[in-house]
Amino acid sequence: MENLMKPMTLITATAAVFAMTAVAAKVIPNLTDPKPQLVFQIGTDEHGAAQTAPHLINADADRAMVALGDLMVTNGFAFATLPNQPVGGGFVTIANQGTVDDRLISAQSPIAGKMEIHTMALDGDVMRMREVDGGLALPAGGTVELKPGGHHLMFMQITQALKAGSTVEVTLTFERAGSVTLALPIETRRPHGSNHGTH
Amino acid sequence: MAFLHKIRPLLYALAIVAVGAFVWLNVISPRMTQSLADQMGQGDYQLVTTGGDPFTQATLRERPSAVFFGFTHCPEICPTTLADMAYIQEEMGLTPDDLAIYFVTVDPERDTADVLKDYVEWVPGARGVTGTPEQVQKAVSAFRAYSRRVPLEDGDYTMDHSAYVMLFDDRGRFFEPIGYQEDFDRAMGKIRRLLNS
Repeated sequence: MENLMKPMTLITATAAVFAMTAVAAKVIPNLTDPKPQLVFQIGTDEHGAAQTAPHLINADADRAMVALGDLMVTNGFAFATLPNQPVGGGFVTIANQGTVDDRLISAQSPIAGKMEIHTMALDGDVMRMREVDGGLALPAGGTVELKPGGHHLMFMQITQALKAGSTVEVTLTFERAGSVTLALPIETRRPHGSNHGTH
Repeated sequence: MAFLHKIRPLLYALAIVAVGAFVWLNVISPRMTQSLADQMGQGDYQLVTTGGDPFTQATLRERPSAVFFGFTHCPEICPTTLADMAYIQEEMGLTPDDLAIYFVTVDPERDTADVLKDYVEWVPGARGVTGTPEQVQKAVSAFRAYSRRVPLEDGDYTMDHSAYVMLFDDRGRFFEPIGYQEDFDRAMGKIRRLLNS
């Protein structure tokens, strides 16, 4: 009859088993099938880096390219602006095929009051954009990509809209290689990472 | 039962932890989530849409809505988010009655209703929202969003701001956020769940 002398032990054990079962039932489905919750860790992968969903645009063939000394500028394009949008974004990929570092120090366009070289990053869920201080470094043997979601050429104080299907002239000035002008084809923004075609 | 007797302190401890966890998961945690969902977007901000209507906390109770913050001097994420919303709207065959889309400027000094109108209404049926800087700041706080003015050279400035879209149900309760450049199928799945909720 020792069992009856220890009713508290049994009650405690029963309560523990019951509560743990209830907790397990609550927690386990959440692990396998997470419910929508107020989680603001969005748009980032587990490393906290922005999910640069492939902003796949046109084939490179349509994009502007030009060589300047050791620099190969490819994949040049700009995005069409929305009505009343006073700024625009342009993008190029620059490969420095030489043995000396260079630097993209400025950009100009006849349709922009001024242009800046910007970097942009998602900091948590906050988008922060900054001018690249002292220009964009182009290390010897390296390739620097200006692309949606990252570095871009920002057209500011634009005097005309960037219309899809036309081009916009941009002059890039490098610390060592000098200047080069290219006409960036203007593209419509397309839904990122979608295979549904254009609309 | 000698064994049970020996581990009795451990059982007590387990029971307390388990009961505590049970109460947390079933009572306290849901209430906290509940209250945040209820508070999002609630505040005494008084703004106006590019359609000429007032935009207040009551607006969120008119129909399901998608609300996000941005500004027109925004080279990429704002146009991209608008383009994404246009795409989703078209892909899902949504009208503004199904899902109202509001683009609230964080830069009311430059984004007057006139400037915003053509910009935002490029997305069919979407509405820009603006007001005085004080009222906009109230709205930013009410939506638990973030915005900050960042000076550039030559006296120019840009804005840092929250980059997600907030979904609200037709009772004005916060449903879920859509992250910047979140996968389309996931984003559309959220909207589908919102509209079925």
